[in-house]
Amino acid sequence: MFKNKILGAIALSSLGAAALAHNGATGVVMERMMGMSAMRDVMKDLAPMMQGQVPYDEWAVRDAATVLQSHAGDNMARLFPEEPIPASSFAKPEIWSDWARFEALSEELRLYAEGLDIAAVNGLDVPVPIAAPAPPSDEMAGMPGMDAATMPMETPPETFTVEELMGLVARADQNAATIAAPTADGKITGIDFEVTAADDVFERISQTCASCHSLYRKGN
Amino acid sequence: MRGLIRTAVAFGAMGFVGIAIVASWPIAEPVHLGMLAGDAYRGAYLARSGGCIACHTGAAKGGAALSGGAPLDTPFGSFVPPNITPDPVYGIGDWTLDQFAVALRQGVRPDGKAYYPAFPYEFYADLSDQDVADLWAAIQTVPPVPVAAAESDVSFPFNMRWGLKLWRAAYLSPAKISPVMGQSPDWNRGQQLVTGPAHCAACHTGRNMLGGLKESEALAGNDNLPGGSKAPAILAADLAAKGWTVANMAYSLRTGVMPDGDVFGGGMAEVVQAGTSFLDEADREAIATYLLDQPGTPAPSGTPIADAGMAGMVHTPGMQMNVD
Repeated sequence: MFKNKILGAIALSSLGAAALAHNGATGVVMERMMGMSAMRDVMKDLAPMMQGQVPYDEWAVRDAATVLQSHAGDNMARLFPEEPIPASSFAKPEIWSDWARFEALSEELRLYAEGLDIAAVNGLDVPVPIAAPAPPSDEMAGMPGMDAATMPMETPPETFTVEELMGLVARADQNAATIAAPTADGKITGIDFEVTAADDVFERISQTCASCHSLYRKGN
Repeated sequence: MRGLIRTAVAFGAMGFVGIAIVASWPIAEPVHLGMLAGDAYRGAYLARSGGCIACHTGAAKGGAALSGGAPLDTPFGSFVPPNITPDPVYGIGDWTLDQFAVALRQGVRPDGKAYYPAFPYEFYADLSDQDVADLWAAIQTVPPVPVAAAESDVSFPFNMRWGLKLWRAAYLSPAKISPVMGQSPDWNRGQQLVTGPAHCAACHTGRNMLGGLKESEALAGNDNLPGGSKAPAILAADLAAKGWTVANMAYSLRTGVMPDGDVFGGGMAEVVQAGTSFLDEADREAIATYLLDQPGTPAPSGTPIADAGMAGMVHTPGMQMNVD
């Protein structure tokens, strides 16, 4: 199952690459287009699942996380050697003038993809930490299926404060500059993926993609 | 020879007189909001919806809120969104609410000069007095920043600000939004956002050589955005052909993930990151509902309610939110 999906992803990415190759991409440019296409394809598959439109499949999410990891971090950065940008490429020269940030975003993607693999088991709901269960009230104890340790929390309503809306403070649901600073041991500060909903991690991945695309990719 | 010189002098004098007349031509219509009290939360929400925060804050360089944004590079020059914090010297702290209303809805500065259309005031033209007061209240919550934003660098002859009055006469098309009978509240809310403050057309509609919006090509895409970017067509048929639905567009306006799995970059990534991701889900769905069911020309059952005089759906200009 797992191997089949990986092979499928590779096959799909090859098809995407073949299409792109018609635009004249060769060598390392084609290689990174293949990588981007592979990631695009798994994002396409995951997005409906993360919206609850199709049934959640933990193993599909973990397979997708593996694909994303394999195209992120150093594996992505090494495909961007500093060289003249051919017409077939969407890369912007800022990649090399701002290399540290590009590399950080690439690594951030890898760490979030790793996090998605960990968080996949949680599905779309944030599990209540078992270490601090809410004391069940008499009323709740009598209700079936209301086990405090496994009860999913509803996603909090998305409302922002005036300070968040006006840009005076970073909003609570995001890291300030979208670039999460990895600590020395390679973890992302402040996120415990074991108690994070998979769709939350997925959205962080999309934010990382958007940050990178807005800075370093031509066009939208 | 003498006659030629006289003729040249006469034409020159006429030119100067013409410029003087245009320069002294008053373009602002007076407004009287008095001391209308505003709601800072509603104003802050509107500031996000309308792109005020995205444009006037240089977030990429860690700039303070509303203290001036990243330059917008256009064929006419580089426009720097100014400091609109309440600082009385470098911001707009010494303005009155009425002056703010004229600037926002009419595109005219307190000194009577016109703004460049890089400031999308055309799309704010239909904001209600209450919307303006709400925005004004929201701006007062921002700390004043006593630093001038960089100057815009506009090339000749576009740096002659009086010429903007002629531009206005030729191309200005202020938003006028009327609810449409037979469409859902979501659709009407979407119409209000898309054609009003969210100013989608500012990028997704082509512009003529002088920067005027091509009304006949509304939302049909723009291949010549500042910085060389392109904005795709977002007409209903184009969107449907690319697999957009209300659900995946609302999701995309929050996360940036498109139906094909790609993730927005360029200007649209900024729009999502600094704008639509802050909106209520109902508003994102409203935008999608409208865009996926835009009235062609003419609109289906497109009777403007204000003109039809139908009970129960009175045209109330402004940006009342869905969250009441």
